[in-house]
Amino acid sequence: MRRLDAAFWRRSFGPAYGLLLVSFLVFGSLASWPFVLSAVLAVAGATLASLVRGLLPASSGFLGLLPALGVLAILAVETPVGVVPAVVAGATGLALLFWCAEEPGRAPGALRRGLGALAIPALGFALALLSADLLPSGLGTVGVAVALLLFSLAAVVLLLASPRSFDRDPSASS
Amino acid sequence: MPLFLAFPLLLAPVAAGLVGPRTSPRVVLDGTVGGSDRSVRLDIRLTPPVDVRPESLDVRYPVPAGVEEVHPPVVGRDGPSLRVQLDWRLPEPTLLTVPTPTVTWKDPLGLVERSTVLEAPRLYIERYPPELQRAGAVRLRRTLALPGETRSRAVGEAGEFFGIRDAAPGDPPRRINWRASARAGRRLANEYALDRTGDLVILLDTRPTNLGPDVDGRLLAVSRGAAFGLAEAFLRDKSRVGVATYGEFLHAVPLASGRTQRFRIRELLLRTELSTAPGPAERCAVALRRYYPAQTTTVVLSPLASETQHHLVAHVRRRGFPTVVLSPSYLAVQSVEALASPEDEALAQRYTRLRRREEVTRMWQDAPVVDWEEFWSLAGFVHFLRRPSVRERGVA
Repeated sequence: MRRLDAAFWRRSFGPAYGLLLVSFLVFGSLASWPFVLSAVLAVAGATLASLVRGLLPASSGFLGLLPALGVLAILAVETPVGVVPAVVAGATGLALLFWCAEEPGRAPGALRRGLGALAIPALGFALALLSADLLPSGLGTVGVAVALLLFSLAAVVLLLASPRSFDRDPSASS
Repeated sequence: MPLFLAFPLLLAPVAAGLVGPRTSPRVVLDGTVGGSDRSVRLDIRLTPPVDVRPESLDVRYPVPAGVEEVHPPVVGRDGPSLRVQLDWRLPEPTLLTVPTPTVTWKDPLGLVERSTVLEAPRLYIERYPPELQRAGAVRLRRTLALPGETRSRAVGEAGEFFGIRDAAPGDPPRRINWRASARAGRRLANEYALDRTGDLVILLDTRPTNLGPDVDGRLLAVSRGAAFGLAEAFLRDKSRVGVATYGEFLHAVPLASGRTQRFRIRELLLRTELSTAPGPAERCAVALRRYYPAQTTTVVLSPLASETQHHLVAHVRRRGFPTVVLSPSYLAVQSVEALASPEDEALAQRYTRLRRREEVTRMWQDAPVVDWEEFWSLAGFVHFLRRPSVRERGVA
């Protein structure tokens, strides 16, 4: 357990905490129960997650994800299906990823490293959303399938373009 | 329930494997060791290949034993490199190699980690009391069969007048040319054409004592620092210096001079560790004669904490080596047990001090001993070496 000094607050709360809190609140506002309950859950989930991550040693910091995931699951269960909830849910997922990737106490690149982790998931999410809404069937599952297919193709092309990935071990005769 | 919520979370692990380098990236490390006396400042630069962001490297610097960390490492980006500044403090003089850091590449989510291939030069921390810088001017016994002075091409602190140069901060007042300084309006110092002064053997006793491995280890680290400082000072003034360590067997660097000798001595001292089995004192003295000629001035670095360490000095002296003992005192590193009252503690400390004084006094029958308790100062030892009449008492 670490001490509650200035360094603790610095490594616990960064810009990603604010983004996570806002996205939880927006997502909670779409739930079928009163907004006050959603707001309490959102604040508790985001704050508790950041506090746990800051308090525990770096090797156990991942446990901070549990409160955030729990609140997200509760809010998702209570949110109806639709285009707007789908967009907000995806954005909330991205905010959670950003919060996971950010290390507020780390220097340098605490924020920039976090943003770097979002590029591919955000692209995949955008593809899936556009496919789901623009395809004639209008089914979300079809959009997800199309995005996954495109993503797999991109990954195969990327791996084939870098042969170093396949010959990592030096040959016995070299 | 909106299905899209899970989409970014499911995609993230796959993306983590794709964003980083495909193989272990090659990272080039270069750095400098700065600071003076007790403080050590390490300025390290880590340069990864162009396709790896410097801030994605995770650097862990182990703090070596006997070194205190003043504050956590300061990490910052400096162009294409990652700059790590470490601030350490040395409680005692020492000689050690800066440990190689562990550098890994991690994706921002911490899901993928790749080790790096580190190209790092060895960096050394060499800290010893500043007075040793002047120890090289001491006139040593000559053991070469060449009559008269042997003129060296180097300039230094003693010999015939060679020229005048700007004074450096460490120059003693006797080296300042006051008349020339008054004329020039700035401090000028004399330089002399050096003569080869003589030969010196430094012997470290690395055998274990009943003080325990912790205290023995700290005293050995202090001895290592002092041995290196002493060797460096005499090598700078063109003397021939040899270093030997004795645990169970003797490990020796034969007498030689020059920069290569400095390197050899440093490598031997860095390899030296506390011996597990103590060898007999006679063996050391016999082996010493196989490497060094008799009548070579010998400085024995020994804590004198056991009877066998006392015997070593006597045996070395009887084999024909004029011996001076520099004894790092265990009182400076030994922790005193907490007793019932402060009076008891003061009494216990006084008793330990008296016992140490008695041991040192007894040792004077065999060789002159300098009791070294304040580890950052060797003024007393250097002053002692400069008095040949007293030093000669160590001759058999």
